[in-house]
Amino acid sequence: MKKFVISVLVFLIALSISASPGSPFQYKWVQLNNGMPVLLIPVKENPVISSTIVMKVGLKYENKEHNGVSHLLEHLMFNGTTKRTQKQLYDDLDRAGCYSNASTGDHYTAYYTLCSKENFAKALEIQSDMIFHSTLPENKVPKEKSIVIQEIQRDKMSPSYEEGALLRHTLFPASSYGMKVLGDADSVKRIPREEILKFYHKYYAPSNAVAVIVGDFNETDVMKTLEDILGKIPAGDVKGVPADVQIPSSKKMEVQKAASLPYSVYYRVFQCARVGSEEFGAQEIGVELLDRGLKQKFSAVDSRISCSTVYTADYGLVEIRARVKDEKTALQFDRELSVYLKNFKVSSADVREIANRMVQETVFSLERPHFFGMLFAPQIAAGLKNPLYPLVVSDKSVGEFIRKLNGECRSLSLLINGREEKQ
Amino acid sequence: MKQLLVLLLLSVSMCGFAGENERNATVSVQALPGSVAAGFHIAFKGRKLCEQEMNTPGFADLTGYILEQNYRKMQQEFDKLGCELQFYDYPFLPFDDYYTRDEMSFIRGKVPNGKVAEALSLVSQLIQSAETVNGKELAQAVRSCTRGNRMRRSLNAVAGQHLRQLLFENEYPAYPTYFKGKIPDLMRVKKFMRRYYSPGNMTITVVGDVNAASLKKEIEGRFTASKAGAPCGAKFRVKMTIPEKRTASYETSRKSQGQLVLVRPLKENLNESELAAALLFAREFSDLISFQLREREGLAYSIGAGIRSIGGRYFLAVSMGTSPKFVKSSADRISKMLETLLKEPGVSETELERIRNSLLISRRMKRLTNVNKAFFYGVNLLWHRPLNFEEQVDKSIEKVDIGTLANAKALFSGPEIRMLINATEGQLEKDNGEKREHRKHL
Repeated sequence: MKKFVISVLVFLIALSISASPGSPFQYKWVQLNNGMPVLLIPVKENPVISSTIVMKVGLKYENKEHNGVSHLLEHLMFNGTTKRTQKQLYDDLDRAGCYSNASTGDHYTAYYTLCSKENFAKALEIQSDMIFHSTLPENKVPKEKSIVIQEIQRDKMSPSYEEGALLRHTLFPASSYGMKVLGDADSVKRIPREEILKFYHKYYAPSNAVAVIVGDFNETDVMKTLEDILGKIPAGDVKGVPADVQIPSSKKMEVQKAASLPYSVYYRVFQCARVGSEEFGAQEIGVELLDRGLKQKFSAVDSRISCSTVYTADYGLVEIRARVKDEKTALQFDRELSVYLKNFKVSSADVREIANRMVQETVFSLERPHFFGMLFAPQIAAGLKNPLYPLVVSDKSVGEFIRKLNGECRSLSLLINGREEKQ
Repeated sequence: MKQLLVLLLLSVSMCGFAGENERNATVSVQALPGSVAAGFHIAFKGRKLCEQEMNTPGFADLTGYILEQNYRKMQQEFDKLGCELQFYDYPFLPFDDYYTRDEMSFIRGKVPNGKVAEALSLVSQLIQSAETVNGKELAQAVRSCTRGNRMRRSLNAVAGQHLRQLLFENEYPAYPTYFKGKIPDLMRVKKFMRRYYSPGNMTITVVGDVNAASLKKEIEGRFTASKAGAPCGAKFRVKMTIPEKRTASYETSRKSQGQLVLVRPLKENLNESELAAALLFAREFSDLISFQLREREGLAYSIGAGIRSIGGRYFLAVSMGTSPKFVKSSADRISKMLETLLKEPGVSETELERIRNSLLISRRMKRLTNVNKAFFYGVNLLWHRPLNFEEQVDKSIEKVDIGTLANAKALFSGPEIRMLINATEGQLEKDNGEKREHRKHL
């Protein structure tokens, strides 16, 4: 009885999270009978509907021995289910005129489909079959491992591979977040199928999933379809484990050597608010303002200098990145950056302008319903409820965010020292 | 006699001088009520023709970076309108089938429906301001476009450039796509920009929930030059030398990654229903090879086949990213699979339905956004095709039956051309009897 009352309460609270009339677009959170939350966004521009199913599992739950298991699992999901062979799965997707793809991140794995609105029920049934009834056939494991290892080798050729690996390792030396999402060739090779199956059964259940439905649908019809297909799957009992992740904090710039990197790059990283927090919106707008300001002020250091955010369920980071000539330039930039941040002023007009632009970008993404899912999957997995969050941010809260950057947040300066660039 | 003179004059103007005294941009605005946002596309025509004529290889690429630099400076003004611009080498454009980098470069943008005129007015200022580029800014643009651009070093890009050189020899598609080398003379850059970015050399297409007639008038008024210029032209059918069956092999610095590109020319001047049938056949073949080589055997991290237009001619193009040790053997197998499929009897109704639906969704996905619709309208205007050409092809695809698809096999009559990138040497040694080249690509 207690469980039922809680469920009803959660359902009512969920229903209340929706856009007000006059918003740039409408959205609504609903909950299926098995508790699975669903974000509905109607868009009538094209006669298509997309379904994104976000599983709240990724690198976070991996260990060194089996690093890469989430991504390998994502690949294996397309290889057959309890009622479809891989060929049947692919043929059914094609026959329904259905685009299907997936991606894996630090704390999520997302599966996307897009199809004409007439075929939505069929597409959702296939997607649900694939995600919740996969068999991970034994004879397909070596083939998928081979593809993943080729992906790793391809990624390794990019200079950003070493840069990313060093940054992760420095920020999260003792956490699974310090590893690579794809793993490495050795770890992928040694993951046994039993381990992949165990991982799959542990984390793939509606209680660990969120669905995002965007497109040209009628709400009553789409809810019936969702209940019939997703709502009947047993909820499962996946318990997400919050991790206490803290980046190292230091006032002195750390230097890491990267012999094969053909350039040097400076990072200032702050550990700030998480997605679900009150400060999240202000942080996002503040970072956009900083990005713009840094590009104007420091274009001579690096015309592509950037300020951006990274979120998982366990942390929120603000990263300032600039390519620099050498250690001396990095140290000078480090000092100038600190002064710049101390004197950074936030105006009301700027906050409104950035907020409007961010909302407009979200509106743009809705033209491709599946793309909205791809764009927002990381934040939704990390707890985002209001996709129109920039509209409720005050200038005062953005000012407060900037103030916190100057001392209150944990922060780290890092130089990844590669080979000197030829001028 | 008078009539003859008029006819003669008309024919001279059509053959030789059409478009040479243009002052205004060509503008097309399509109203699409209910759109969440508008999209526009500004094509700068005759990209490689212009570069070839002015002996300025890769200048469209380089000057695109100058425009992009200026955009960063003006970004706040664009932001105020909620307008987002993308430049011609934006990495996620799904238009590889068109190889439009031979024909044009472009600026495109997404904007709220009510702000199109203001956004295009800003774009006009952006283009004009680019001509005031100074030496320092030019040096910065050279650095940006020659360093760190991964796209131009992708194995597909390398293969594509070599393929054009093989097919078109001295014709414009073989001209370099990307800028290479040292900082060019500032005056040459400015001269190129004055011609290439003149209003008469632009085709502007807009799609959105807008008042088409008044917006068209406003844009035409904005994109007009004080005096007539000499546009670069928009020739897209050129002389092509199809070599005999041959293999060309190249090495790049990315030795651990292999790539193969295999093309077969289709007959010239395909009509819509022939193109539809060819697209379906290519999809059938794409599914066949990706299922066998990727899904069953795990040999490819990327694989696919499609119909591509290069220099006005259609080709079946297959590409596969794989380990260097599988490049040559995969090319052999793909070639054999194609021959077998060309000889096999047609597909069943159910199979045709599967191929058709999967092809249609992938084609429609490319046209979901208004900015992409504007791109396609721009290409169609440039290539003198009906504005809704893509929709017409979709309708033809819906009508293709088993018999038409079987007949499509006759369209693939040309010889096969292979580009092998980073294939391991041992395999190349065995490649006897075929005309082949082996070069180092730096």
